[in-house]
Amino acid sequence: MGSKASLHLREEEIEAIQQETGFQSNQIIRLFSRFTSLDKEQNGFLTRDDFMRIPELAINPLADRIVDAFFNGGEEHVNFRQFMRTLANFRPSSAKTSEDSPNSRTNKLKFVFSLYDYDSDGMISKKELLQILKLLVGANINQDQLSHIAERTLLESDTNNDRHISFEEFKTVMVRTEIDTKMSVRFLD
Amino acid sequence: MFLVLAVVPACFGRELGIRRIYIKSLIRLFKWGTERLEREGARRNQSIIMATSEDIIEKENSINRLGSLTNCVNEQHKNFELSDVVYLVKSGIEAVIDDEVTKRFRAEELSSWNLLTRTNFHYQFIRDENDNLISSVYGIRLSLLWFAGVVLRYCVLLPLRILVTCFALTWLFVTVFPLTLMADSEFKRKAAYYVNLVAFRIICRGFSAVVDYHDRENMPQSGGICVANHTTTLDVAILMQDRPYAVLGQIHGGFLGWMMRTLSKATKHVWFERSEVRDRMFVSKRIMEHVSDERNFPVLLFPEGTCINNTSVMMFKKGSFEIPTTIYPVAIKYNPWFGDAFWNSSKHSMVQYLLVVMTSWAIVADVWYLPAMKRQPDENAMQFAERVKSVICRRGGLVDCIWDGQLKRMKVKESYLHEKQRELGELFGDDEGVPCAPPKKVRFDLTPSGGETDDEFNQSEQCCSSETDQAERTVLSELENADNVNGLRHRD
Repeated sequence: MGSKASLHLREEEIEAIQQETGFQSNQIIRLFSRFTSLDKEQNGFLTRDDFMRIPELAINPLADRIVDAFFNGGEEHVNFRQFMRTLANFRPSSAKTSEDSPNSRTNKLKFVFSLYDYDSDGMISKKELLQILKLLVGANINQDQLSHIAERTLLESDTNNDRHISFEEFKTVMVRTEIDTKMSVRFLD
Repeated sequence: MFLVLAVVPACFGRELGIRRIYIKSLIRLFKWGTERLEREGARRNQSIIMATSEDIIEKENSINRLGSLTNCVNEQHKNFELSDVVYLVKSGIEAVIDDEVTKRFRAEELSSWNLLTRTNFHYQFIRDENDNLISSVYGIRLSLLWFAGVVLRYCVLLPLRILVTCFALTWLFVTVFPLTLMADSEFKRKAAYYVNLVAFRIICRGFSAVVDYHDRENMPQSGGICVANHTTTLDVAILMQDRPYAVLGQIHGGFLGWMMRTLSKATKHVWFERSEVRDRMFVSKRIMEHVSDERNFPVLLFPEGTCINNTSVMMFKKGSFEIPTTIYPVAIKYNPWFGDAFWNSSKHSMVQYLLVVMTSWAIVADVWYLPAMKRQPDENAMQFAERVKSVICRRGGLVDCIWDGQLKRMKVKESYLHEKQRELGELFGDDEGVPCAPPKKVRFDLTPSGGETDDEFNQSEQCCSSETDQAERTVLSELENADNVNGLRHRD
């Protein structure tokens, strides 16, 4: 049984996470239990390998990008706070959810946007579109065809013709998508 | 002496009832403990918050190796749109929060405390009347009780149990040895039956096993294969307490090997040389030979191939089900309140595990014998395996899991990912405005050509070789385990 300080959840931490993410304390505790079960070496943090050890995630074509979303920049470790921050985006939202909270519609859209935006420059380029498409279909569609698909997608969304999709343009494209339900995980109480 | 109390009832197949009284008292104790916690909490206006093993989310977008992605990802339109990734994102996050596999290899969590510090019960907090969170503080009485429990378990029960187990192993050897010198006869076979029975009954007393057997009219008969879900090596002892079986195993050299060979002269088991273990045809043939002889005990096999935490049954390897004989399914469910029977071989070595078991309160289990099943002419081995598995799950109240138990140690095969990519490729490949060049479909299939191959006795269908660890090396489960470095490396 690990007795390192980082392996136990202190009350102040739970309170802080509750403030930051909006999760209830029982959910936080439950997710901490999950966090430690993924943390195979009991280090108090998760690595990429820890995530990819989950079979259902490993067979997801977008696994790499989803895991990237947990890690800040070039870091190798995710601690529990960061873990919760990322998951907070997926709490269900309602009409009362404020714009600032992590699970607002805007922030959910930002999450999807950052999935496309590899270099985090705030714009999706054709190259980045291609990279995502490649992840999705592997080698089952040839390069030319992929390029055509990326081109078409770009043209449809890029309203100011700068060959990039900005976040505003992205939001416009996604206006018909029910982001609130599609990007919310159903937490049971 | 205490040993007499252990041995005499075992010979007659009766229980003195001491263990059952002990269990009943423990149950009363746990109930009292839980009520105390709740009453304390209510008195101080506190509510207890803790992690339980109940589901935290309801999965809506799960993708698994069987399901098809296409109708989920892309509903009305056929061309790729920016929103198409959303399904996969949610699916990935759901898998991070809760997945069907990783939770099967961790001890089951209890909803309350059974006075053992080792129970997965780290996360308990109390919210008091001012809405502040404080770490739970057990009352003084409960802590005293816990301490008394520690003394009882380590200073009284542990030495007694070790004594009984050592005695049991000696007894086994002593009573079996004369049989090995006898020639084959009806008398020898009957004697072997009872000798085995008594010996294992004493062994079971060595870890305070309290087992209830149900539907004993379906007990496995000679000339068949008994399959059960696997939680620990003690499964064998628990089953052999009721009737003897023939086990599969690998012969060791040295003293242990000599002992195994000697004992085999009394009771026929199915032993293999190390080199023979790889040869699946040979293994099947040997089992078939054993099973055809009506005088032999039924073979005991664990098709999962590895120990699972007794909350679900994972994929059955089809090897056992290809042999044309009767299958006797058995469901084993342990009661986690008295001690966790699950052997987490990456956490504990065999010796550590036995120590944990012997310092738990008891091992309480239910065993259900299920009606015999035979493979139907219109089903293949895999379908038959699935059918048997679902019968066991239903009876034992376990979750039917399609994933392979070998995922405990190995990574999932990339071919499943490539399959998903292929589906998406087909979906988006007919994008309008694209020249008519047919999409190049390349299959990155890591399995050798021929589709469904390796899931037989030793190889795993869903895993590819990467890190393998050799922790779980009991004689009995060695054959069913695919974690032999040589074997796997050469496949991929």
